[in-house]
Amino acid sequence: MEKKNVSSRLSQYFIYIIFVALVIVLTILKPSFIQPGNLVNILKQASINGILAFGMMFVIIAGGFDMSVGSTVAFAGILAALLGRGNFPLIVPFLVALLAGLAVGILNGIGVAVGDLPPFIMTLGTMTAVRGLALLVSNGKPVTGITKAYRKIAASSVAGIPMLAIFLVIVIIICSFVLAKTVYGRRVYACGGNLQAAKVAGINTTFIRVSTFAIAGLLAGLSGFLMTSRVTIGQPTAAESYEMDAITACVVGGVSMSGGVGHPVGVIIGTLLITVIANGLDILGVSSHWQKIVKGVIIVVAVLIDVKGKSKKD
Amino acid sequence: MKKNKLVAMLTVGALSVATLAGCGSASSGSSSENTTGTSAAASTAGSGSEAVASGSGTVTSSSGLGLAAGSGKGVKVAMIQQHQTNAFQIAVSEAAQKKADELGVDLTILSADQDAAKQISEIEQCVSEKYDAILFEPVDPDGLGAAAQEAADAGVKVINIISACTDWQDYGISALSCGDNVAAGELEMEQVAKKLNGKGNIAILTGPSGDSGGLQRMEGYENVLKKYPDIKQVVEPADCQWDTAQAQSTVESWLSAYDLDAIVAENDGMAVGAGNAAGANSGIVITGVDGTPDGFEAIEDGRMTGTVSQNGGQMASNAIEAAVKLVKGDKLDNNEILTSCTWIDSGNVANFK
Amino acid sequence: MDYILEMKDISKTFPGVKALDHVQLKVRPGEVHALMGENGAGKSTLMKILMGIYKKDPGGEILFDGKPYEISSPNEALHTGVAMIHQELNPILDMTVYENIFVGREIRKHGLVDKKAEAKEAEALIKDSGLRVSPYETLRNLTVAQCQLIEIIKATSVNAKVIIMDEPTAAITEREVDILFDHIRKLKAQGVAIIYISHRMEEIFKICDSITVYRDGQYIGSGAAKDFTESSLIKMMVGREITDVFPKAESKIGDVIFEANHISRADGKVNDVSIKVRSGEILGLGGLVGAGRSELVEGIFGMHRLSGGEIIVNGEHVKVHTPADIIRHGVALVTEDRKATGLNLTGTVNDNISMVAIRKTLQNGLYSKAKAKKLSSDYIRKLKIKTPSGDQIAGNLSGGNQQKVVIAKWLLNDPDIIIMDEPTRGIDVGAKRDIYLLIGELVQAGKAVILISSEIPELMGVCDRIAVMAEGHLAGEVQRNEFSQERIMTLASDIQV
Repeated sequence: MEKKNVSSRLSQYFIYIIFVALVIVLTILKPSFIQPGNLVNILKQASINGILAFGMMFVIIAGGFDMSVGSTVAFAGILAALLGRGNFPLIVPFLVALLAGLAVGILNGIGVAVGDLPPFIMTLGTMTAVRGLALLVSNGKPVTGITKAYRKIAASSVAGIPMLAIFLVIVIIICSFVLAKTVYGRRVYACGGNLQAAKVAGINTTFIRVSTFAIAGLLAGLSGFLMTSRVTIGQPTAAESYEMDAITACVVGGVSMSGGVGHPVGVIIGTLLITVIANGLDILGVSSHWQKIVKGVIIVVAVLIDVKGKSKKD
Repeated sequence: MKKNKLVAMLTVGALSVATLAGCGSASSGSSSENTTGTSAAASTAGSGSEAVASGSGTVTSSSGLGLAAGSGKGVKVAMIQQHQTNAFQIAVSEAAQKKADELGVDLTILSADQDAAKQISEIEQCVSEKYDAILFEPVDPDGLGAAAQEAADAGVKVINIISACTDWQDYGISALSCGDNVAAGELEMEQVAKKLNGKGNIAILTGPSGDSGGLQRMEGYENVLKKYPDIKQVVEPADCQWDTAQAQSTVESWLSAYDLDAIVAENDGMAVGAGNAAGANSGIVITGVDGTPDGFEAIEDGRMTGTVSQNGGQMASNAIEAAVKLVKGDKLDNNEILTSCTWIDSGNVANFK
Repeated sequence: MDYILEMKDISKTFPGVKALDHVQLKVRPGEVHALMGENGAGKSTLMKILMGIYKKDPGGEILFDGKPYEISSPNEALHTGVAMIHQELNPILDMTVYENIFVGREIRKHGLVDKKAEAKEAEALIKDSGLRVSPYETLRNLTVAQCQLIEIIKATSVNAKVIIMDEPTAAITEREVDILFDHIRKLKAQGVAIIYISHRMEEIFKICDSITVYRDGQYIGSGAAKDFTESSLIKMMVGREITDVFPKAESKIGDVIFEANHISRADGKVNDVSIKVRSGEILGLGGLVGAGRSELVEGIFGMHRLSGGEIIVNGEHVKVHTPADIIRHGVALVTEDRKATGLNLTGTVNDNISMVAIRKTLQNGLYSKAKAKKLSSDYIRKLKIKTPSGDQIAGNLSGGNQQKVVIAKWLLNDPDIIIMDEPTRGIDVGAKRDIYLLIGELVQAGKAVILISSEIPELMGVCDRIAVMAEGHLAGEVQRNEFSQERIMTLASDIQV
């Protein structure tokens, strides 16, 4: 019993320990890491992956998995860029990007919850198809010419805090509230914890599962809108493998791939950890190949400790 | 607008084919003689507008190998692109189609979607459908040789475009129409050195590690940097996967820790990211390669300093012409057709849009 | 109002199978009504129709509280007043006790979950049930039995008028069964009707008021529990007379062929346990759930690391690191959870039977399907496995037949010592009897059998000797001539040696 508590506590706080240690090491190696200017960078760089990770969190907690968010970001970003060239008020590309993401998400959800397809297969399908759609709509070329006002969304800041980070914070607050406080949130956990049990308890599991994919899609749409603003162009090839970073943030942050477990705080730290690794190694001027190695090691160790920390039920 | 760009590309291409066609026995990693020649030409040409002006004199001979319109009637050609997901590749397909229409060639364009296995089966398919010639850009320089050999053995003329298979001549490949990535890298770095007056801190953004085009551009950078001991790389080159967002994040991080005078990117997408991170008219020299619309936009509003255009369209149309000649039984003057590159900055960018 | 629930003339056809053929069920308020029948008799199908998981065929009617009962989902069933504790239902392990109790019907305040109120009410319910756990505890940290009780608390707390309990005691200890029965009596007093499904005969007569029997999708009969005897009930269920429940074959007990001395497991779940078994002997391993019986045999079998002890098979010391080490010496383990560790559920019966002794199916060094088929068909016949053919997918067989497939898999390897962990759990009377007969044949052939069972009557009926475990150690041993339920229970609940 004692032993189990120690290791489960370790698994709970492992990610925080790693995070703090990393920050300290980086600060010692390169004091400019902790300068306000770079902290703002980290916030900016964490924003899009953070928003995606929060969408992914809903899906994974409900027992699913979404490979398609990267493609959805690109698709929504292309649509936003096409509509954001001064031809419409800014609200139009914003809403269209969200709706496009939502549509992909609902499609994923229906395939998984109604069509009974494994989430991996269904979202692999949409990942490929939606990427194709992005290339088709953009004719394979980057979409240029978005308005100054649109660019400004990602480039501006309020009281020194970048707008992107403000979007992220809003997403974090809403998602955390929904998961922790609402009946809906509780049922998301129940579906992922034991789908059959949730069904028998009278929960509309189909709705819950479709809706988690819809949330992931919606947030991918938002990310696409912001992404276009940040890079000032709509790129059909953008956000390649962003789903992997989102999944990494979740897993490292303690969201269990088998569903039913996960807390927003962990995902925030997971997102920051990934960003800090990239940012820190960039600042150190270390070859970017190291980033991959460090990230990979942290994923495996985090999950290993997570698995070991859980008592196996017989 | 599109037309202008195309004409400009064609003229510059034609010009460079004239100057370079003679010296290309080595494969795509061409000799240093060759590349210094290019950069010298570019730097003497000074600003790009001058280059265009001189190019306009030869606009009539836009068809580089001198074939008459309609002379390709009845020739069935397949072009298999590496992929069709960026502006460069789209320009390649458009130029190929245009040249094919002009010559009356029956052209089919396919995409291998970055998948070597798919490209091999496409080549096999084209052989069995009795195409006269197959143009392809190998997804993998080492993996497509055998497929090319098989096609050549079946009597199909095989031509590499944009990049070559390793030891391409040994695999029955009749011709290679490509740009010169080393020269492009040299031209880009020469321009940077000129803007910095031979002194300053720079950083380099690279494509995916192991990408042959990227490695050749890097070779060009290094060739030039040897001449400028006062230009220092203050960080390791960062692999940003050709991606704008990733380059943007990396450069943001760099700028908070390093004092950079120039950021040299191996493509425009990453240069745009660097430009976004630095902001418009930041005083930092930011350059790319490709000449894509997003790059042009960034050059116009001051986020980027300039780019090196590779004239992919010219590579494609040259290859179509070479295919027609070979199918008709004619010999090529030189089976390595090199297309040169152009420096584009705020002075001449309007001509390319 | 005589009946709270009347199901009349209910049929259910699956493609190719008539699962229910015009059956009926009538339940009075405040009674415990047992549904009896072998697996495949149609009990589960009938209950799934009641819960809205399946739709009945057109025709027939269901009346609930005198009114037509038309529902299409478990949710509607719950709201109408029908709750079910499902046989295969696992709780949500990563949620807390109170979250589990209120899942699907959360207490709300201003539209949000009122965690405090939930926890408070859960605490009251838990206290009421005699269980001692915190409502904030995560189910992953509870024992299987505790989880099962939480499920029962959950089902009983929805104010249902009819509660279906499908094998509620399958995984809980005697003491907890008592707690459950207290619960059931309380519910009865409140006028709640319980539909009770169990394979444990003695429970039926202990707690149930009436019994309805089904066989092969047909309604056989119904009546007050006191009008049945165990043998009359079994006769109705299996359609023939079974005179003795535990047939005991005479066999010649020889020398010790298997010894496990001073076994301790690295995780501390087993401490210094020694057992030995002779050829021709059936050794029972008794004890409460969690006493360490499965843990002991799994340790011996190389599935978990041992921290001490020696294993001697046929006089030879065996160093066991993996199951393969001990299988080679002629030991077989029919594991407790046939779905998790016994069967390849998506493989065919033939695949499963040839899984261990794969070498016997080889021809010229390659797997021969024909040979595997021939070998497995021998065992399908010998063990009376009811399957359309050896090519049937194992997951589609009934529990009893799946268990026989697992046993066949081991027998094909011709072991000398066969360890069986709860081989009769959740299977019907007919299949149980087949397994007892098989065990008898094995010992008559000079093999040794170690049988783990939580049903004391089964151990007493079948075994020559019973070793009883408690809290990870050996509490004592009882010879056949000293067998008594009290003696075994005393040993099992003894904390000190």
